[in-house]
Amino acid sequence: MTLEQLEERMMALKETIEERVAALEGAVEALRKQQPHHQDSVASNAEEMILGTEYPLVLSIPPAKAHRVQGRIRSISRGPQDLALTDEEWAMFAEGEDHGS
Amino acid sequence: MEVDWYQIVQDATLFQGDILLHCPVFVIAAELSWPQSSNAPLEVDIKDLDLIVMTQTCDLQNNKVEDVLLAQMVAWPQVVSAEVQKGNPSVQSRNFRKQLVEGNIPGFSLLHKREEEPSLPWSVVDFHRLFTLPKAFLSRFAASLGPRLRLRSPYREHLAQAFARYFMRVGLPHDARTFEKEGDVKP
Repeated sequence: MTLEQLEERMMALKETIEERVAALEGAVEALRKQQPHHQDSVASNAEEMILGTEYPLVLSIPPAKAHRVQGRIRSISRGPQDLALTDEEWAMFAEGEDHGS
Repeated sequence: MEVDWYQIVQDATLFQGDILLHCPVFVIAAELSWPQSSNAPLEVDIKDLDLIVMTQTCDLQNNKVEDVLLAQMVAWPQVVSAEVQKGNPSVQSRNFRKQLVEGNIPGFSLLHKREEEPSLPWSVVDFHRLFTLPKAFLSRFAASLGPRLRLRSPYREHLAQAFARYFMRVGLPHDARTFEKEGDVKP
């Protein structure tokens, strides 16, 4: 290979590298443009949410730790059939007493 | 006058105001300490309770919840019997019934009786006694019950409103009760 041929080969390689670098820079720039656009759309969706309006959003946070243990049934019984009022509260409902709440 | 607060359903769907009689509630022992060693059996008491669904229908239908909030309801004859036995004769007073009808007792809501099958005596929902059960479990249980009662609208919303009023109430350290006497001014 002559010196002239070598110079031609080097020039061709340089041009190829420059073309590839230019193409890569273009691709990187295009990707950068897409990235902020995505973040903006999320932010604007959040800003568009109306307070007090229901959205199909359910927070699903798994429990920090789950324990699975063996159980033993100690008793089966009918639940209480009284009302959960204290004696003091019952005293307020004596016949004839005008009690508002 | 025909009064029907209820519709009859016979499937696995769950709505606010669904009545589930003899539903098991699994209660851990009050004296349980934690943590337990992994091989120690956990003691559970099973309470057989009459319950009414309090979770909103839209949350149930749209799968927004995995657990269902339930309130205990008790048949009025049982309430009277239990309270008289405890020494609370006021339960038999007309005044107490009037306050229940008017919804003036926080923590309680009256349910109308139903004569036809499936029947229901006059009953009181007690918001002091709340429970949660997994929705999938409760759906299967509901489906196993056969014909059951579901509160119609607007009675369902009336129940929800009573619960909301109970839950949002604020107790004042000093109320304005003296106004009953001091407000009696001559014009």
